[in-house]
Amino acid sequence: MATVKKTLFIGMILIILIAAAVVGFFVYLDKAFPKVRCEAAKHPTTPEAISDCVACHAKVTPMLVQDWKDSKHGALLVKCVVCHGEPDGKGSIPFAAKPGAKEICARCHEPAMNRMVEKLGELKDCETCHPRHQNSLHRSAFEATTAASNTEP
Amino acid sequence: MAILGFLTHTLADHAHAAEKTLAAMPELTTYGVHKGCYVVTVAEAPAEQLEALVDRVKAVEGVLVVYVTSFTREDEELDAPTAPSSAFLSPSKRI
Amino acid sequence: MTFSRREFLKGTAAGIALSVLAGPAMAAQQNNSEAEKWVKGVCRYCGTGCGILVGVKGGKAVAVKGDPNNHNQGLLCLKGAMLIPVIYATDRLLKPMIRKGGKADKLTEVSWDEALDFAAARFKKVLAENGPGAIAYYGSGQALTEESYVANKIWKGGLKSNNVDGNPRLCMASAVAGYTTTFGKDEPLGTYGDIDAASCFFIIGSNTSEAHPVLFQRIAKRKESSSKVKVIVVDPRRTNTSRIADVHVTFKPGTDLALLNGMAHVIIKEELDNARFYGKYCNFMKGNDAVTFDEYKKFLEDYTPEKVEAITGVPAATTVKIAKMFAESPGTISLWCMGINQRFKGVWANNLLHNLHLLTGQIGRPGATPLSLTGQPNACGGVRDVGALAHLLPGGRVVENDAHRKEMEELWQLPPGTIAPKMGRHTIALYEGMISRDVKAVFIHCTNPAHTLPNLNKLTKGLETAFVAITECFKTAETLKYADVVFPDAFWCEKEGVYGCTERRYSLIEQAIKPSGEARPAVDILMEFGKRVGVDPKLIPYKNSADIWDEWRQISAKSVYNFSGITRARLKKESGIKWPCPTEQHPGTNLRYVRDEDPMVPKDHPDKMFFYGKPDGKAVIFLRPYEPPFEPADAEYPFVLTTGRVIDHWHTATMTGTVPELKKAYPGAYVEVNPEDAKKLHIANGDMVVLETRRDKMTFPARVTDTCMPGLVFTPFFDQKLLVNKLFHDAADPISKEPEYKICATKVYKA
Repeated sequence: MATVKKTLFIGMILIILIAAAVVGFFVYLDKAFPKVRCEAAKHPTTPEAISDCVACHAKVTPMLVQDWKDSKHGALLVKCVVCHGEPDGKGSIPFAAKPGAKEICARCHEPAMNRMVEKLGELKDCETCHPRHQNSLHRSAFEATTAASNTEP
Repeated sequence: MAILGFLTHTLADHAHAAEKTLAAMPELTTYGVHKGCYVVTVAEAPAEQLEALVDRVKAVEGVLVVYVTSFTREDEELDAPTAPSSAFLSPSKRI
Repeated sequence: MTFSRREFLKGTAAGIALSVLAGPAMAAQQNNSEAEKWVKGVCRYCGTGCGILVGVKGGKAVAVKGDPNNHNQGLLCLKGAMLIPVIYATDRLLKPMIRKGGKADKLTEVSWDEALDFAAARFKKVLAENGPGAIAYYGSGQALTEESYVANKIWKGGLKSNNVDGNPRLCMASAVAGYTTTFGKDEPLGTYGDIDAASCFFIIGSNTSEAHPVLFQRIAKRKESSSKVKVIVVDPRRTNTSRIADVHVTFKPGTDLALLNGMAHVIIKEELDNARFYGKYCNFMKGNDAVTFDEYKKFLEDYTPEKVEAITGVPAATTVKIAKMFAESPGTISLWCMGINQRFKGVWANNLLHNLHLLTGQIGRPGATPLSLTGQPNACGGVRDVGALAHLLPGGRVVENDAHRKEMEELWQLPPGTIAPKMGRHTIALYEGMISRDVKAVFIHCTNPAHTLPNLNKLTKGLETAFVAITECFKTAETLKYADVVFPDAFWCEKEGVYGCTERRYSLIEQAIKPSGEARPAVDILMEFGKRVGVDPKLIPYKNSADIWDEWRQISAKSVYNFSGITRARLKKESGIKWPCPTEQHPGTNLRYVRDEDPMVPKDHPDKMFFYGKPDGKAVIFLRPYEPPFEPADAEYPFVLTTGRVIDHWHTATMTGTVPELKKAYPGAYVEVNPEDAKKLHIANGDMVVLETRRDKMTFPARVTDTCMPGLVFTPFFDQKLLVNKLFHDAADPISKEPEYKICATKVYKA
């Protein structure tokens, strides 16, 4: 009887410890990786810190950057600044976290946009159907590509 | 309470609607639409709530981005001696 | 009136926000819907030649978008999309300037008359004392066709000097010689439409994704349409272009000639060659001597896949694989650029590429063609077709051909014997001539040789003593340091003229806005200069560039570069037309040398193809052996150094450097080092690294990346503060005189 109780007791302690570890793990994740990281709250202003957006955003918004890299825009090197401009507002394109379809997309895609309007009428925005950073290259035609070089192991 | 001055950059055709929505928010005072797409806005709120407040501003329909132009919290020190240190805004931030 | 402290603070906050709005920090709104009118033109940058519409409001250019009716169908790359700020950059050079007291003096602003007279007086003096061999014109593949045409006429017809050359010598000369030796005439056979029909892309010596982005998009789109479309990329660097590659082949830099011969060997051995085609349409030649097919086959025995592997490092199986892909596809298109052209054996490399197409019959049908990518927007239309090179005359004619000179003298209404019978100085010879003081005065138009010549420390010495007159739009051009007279040129859409791009398409840049400051269109500058130097005004009677175009158009009817049907009116209505185009009703030509497609082939010609540039109507398959680069890596200088472009910057960044986004993407030069090499040399990403060649040494931050293969390092050439061309030698292809920028030997070590 005593051993059963003891086993039960040890078992319960173990379960509590494991549960605490699991909960603790997720609490740690939540605290260590807050939704908005400190660097992300403001864009850098010193000349040394400003460069291609990708380097910093790859750490701060990795999913977005990965989406973009896998997408047609990424493969074709339509870089961040082409649509978003520069965060210090001193660039040639006005800074916009969500660029407007008529102002920005139309610079390259106007013929296609006109065809869409003819077919479907005026639409509120492009990105409901064309998520901006996606439009993946990962289709059957490209599946076997990004080949390894013959000098790679 | 801290006072935050900023420009709310909106899509041109949403500017006035956005201004009305912003003006309706209790913490905000608006000072008109300029150049067709910038709403001059001043927020008055405890400093630790400002980040969330700016997020709510960004979530308003038609708002593209917020440019913070100035920040002052001298009054806050007088009001609340235990106010937290400035989380992410440096004083008098201009773009 | 009560005004609490709080209200005061809030009012201040609002005031600050308002003042920010009023200030210069707000970027110019680029809002398409604000433009009053859209003016049709062509992008100022690369040889893709995208159509662009410039939005104009209140006399200012406010926006751009792609021209939906030109070949690019509305698409632009990031450079073209950000052209507007370049027009209004503070770096714009807007007033004529001269150095009154010689080279040691500084440039002072003067009136147009004073600048023109100052320049003309010196040129007249040099002509009188030293003759036409002592003056020169150094032009550009970025100049308008009308500008190059009128300069060519002024110098060769008016001043009797054949010292007319230009930066295409540094860029496309080997491609020109490749086309003319193989097919008889310059310029590609196919067009961009072949990209939409090809099943196999053979991309060699080209970083298409960064140098011709909109064409890369077209290739990627074609690849997406079917998994049967294959892309082979051959490049010692694994650039972004390889992202869509099915096979990426690296090879020891400079050994690609062996690889191409190896592919030919496989094609014949596997009986994938098209004997019917080459039996009918090709001669086999070794240099100037005719040989037989059997001799060619024997020659290729030195290039079995195993022997090629020993030379190039490419596994034998890979050579076999890509040869089969090339030959067996329904339509194979090759695309190449500076990796093939800027080489000591550049002409031979071009010939070997054409060989593959002629051997397999992958030519003269949609999707099957060797398409040389042109680097600059108007090297084809302006310099090559116009003949503004030291050995050429307009329309594919050659200076040292008596009949050709006679024809041009008749067309230009010049007394017989006006045009000098010997070719002038090609670029390297020109700058060497300045060093030896044989050339005493040079007119430089629309290019920046003090930044772009190879072996800069040596070749710029000539600019220190020669009298230099230059047209330029931007104050940051390095060549201005050597200028005695500076003429401000109107920039891009501030003047009207034609650009001819890679695919033989001539498109019109219509004038969208007035020239800024005191800038004037270069055709006016050139004609005014010419008259003051003593050229007969009857030779250059044009009121504007449209007049020049009309004369050149009509003259072209007398050669196979016939575009007399491309009138100014048609160019205004349409978005570019591909020559040959002999009548105003003719729609333009897609497939050259093909009966019923090319109007220069008689309709009743017995064969389907006719290489009318050659006396017997046949193209040539050349026996070209592998020869190593001029300065390969060795024990003392163990790395190969190469250079090239990046997508964000155009050439010497005088234009792209004024766009904040582009400047920030690549603020300065760097060196790409392979991780294996970096490990051995203890170089970490960001470390300062020295590149030391036999010419000079310079320090760069390192980018450790697997782009370059081991043993190769790369540095881009756009940086105005790090003129990397000081590191490179100026040895040039003996046939084309194009320098080998792509390969030299270097030491690499941590600083």
